Amino acid sequence: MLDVKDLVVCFRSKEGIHEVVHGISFSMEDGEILGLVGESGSGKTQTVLAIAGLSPINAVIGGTITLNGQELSLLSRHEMRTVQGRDISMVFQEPMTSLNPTMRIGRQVEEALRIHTKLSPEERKAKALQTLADVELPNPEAVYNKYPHELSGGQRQRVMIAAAIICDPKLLIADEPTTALDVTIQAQILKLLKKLNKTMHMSILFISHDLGIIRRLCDNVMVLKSGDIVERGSVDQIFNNPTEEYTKRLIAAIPSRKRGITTDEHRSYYEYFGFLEYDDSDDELEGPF
Amino acid sequence: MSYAKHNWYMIFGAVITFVMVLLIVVGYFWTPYSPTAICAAERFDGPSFAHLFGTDNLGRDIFSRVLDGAGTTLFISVSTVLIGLITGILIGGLTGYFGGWIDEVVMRMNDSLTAFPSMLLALVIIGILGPGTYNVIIALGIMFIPSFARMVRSEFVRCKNLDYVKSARLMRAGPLRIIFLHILPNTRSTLLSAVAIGFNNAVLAEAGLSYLGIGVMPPQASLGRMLSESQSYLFSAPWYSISTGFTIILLILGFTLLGEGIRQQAGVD
Repeated sequence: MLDVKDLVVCFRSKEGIHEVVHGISFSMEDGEILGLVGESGSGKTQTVLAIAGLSPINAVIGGTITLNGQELSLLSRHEMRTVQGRDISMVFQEPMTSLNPTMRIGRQVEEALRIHTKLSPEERKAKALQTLADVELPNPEAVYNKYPHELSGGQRQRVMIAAAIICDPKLLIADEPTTALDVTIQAQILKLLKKLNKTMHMSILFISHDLGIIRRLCDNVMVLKSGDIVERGSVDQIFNNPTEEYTKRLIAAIPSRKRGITTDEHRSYYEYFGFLEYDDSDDELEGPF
Repeated sequence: MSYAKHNWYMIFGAVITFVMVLLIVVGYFWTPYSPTAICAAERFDGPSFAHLFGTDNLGRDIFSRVLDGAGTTLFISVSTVLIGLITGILIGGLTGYFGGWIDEVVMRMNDSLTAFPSMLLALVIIGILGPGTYNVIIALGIMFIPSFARMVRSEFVRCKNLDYVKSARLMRAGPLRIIFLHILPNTRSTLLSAVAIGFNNAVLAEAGLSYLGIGVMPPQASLGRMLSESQSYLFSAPWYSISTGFTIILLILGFTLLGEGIRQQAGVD
């Protein structure tokens, strides 16, 4: 479905050209959830921005990105709008800044429909309410007329997801969508993403530096380090039999109870996600995925 | 959401501005005497029930002239601010959103305009166009563009990298749609307080130009022109300058408080 070949991202600056992504290649299947892991500055975000066509102005992109057989860099402006704008959508990290504070929720969720479809206002509203219900927001009618500041962080992130999926995108890019949320809400949002992935057959490219979340949510994992793919494989393979030294160190860097790094926050967190030293007797906390 | 109990700046500012604007609107339709009616027998009458603020050197009713003159002054300042604001939004919005060389070129032109002392710039423009109400508006409007453009630009630079703008770009919304629908409404608190401060500067600038005798032309009344006339009779007819000066003060005070109130309201958000 998505095929990335030799993707290079460079930045022009006064000192010269600085390459941050060094020709990475990977592909995604329909309905796959691919986790993208890496430390800060490893090129995760630049990779997905290039796929979404949102790279900063001073960036130079090389290589080919193919979505459903169409190469994105060859598209005309108009095709770009229908393909890249409708088939790829994105959920951002910070729910506080990812919604426009001066626009009602309904308006924002409908924005993609306004741009990409010719639906009448009534149809748009019906579709928006349906989508708000799909992301499990209670009382969509009320939410529809609210402003972002009237909603909690978790609700906003759900609205963000609703706005992202309203046009039935083929690929949803989630750039650390749960980092800014507290643990309980994180679990709910992850559950929701998993559900949407199943029901809408939407591929998800999930960026995180939290290996616990990646392990729970994703089918496959790709480890990125300073612009190169270090390792790629299924979740089981990467977490149980990492071949590269870097991946092993990443996994070892996760705080765990056994190693004694147990602030209360970490404990509750890793109990919740059942990471590594998770005790299976506590089934109540186990998510459905 | 405001958690402050009362925003007194806002309340006082709104009350003063409302009363002033109300008086000006009334003055537009009705004044006790004609603002230009000369009555030689009643020169330099002190304040009385017949003439609330007294009369001036030509026996004209000062209260009527203040109402009329404040209207002229307000008309000039509103038009001036609108010119500055609209042009500023267009220039600042486009340069701030697109950036690149267009930003550099336009903003350097903007800087060179700012390099002139603003009053001098207005003098030059009036020198070219000649005095008169509309030319004052044009001169002051041009004088106001750079500051508005700069402010709008900085707000756009701040907003264009926020996630909601990114997601609008990802949906391939057109640039005009993003500029006016997604970004502009979010600059409103900064813009509103800038507008309130802009009004003050416009009132003062108009008063300044008329005081220099190159603004509004007689017999039309304006607060600045009246103040400049009144200084010749500062001791023989102090009510003339006091009533005119206080009107200017109240007009400016109202807008200043309102601007501060809006700023605080936005700060609490």
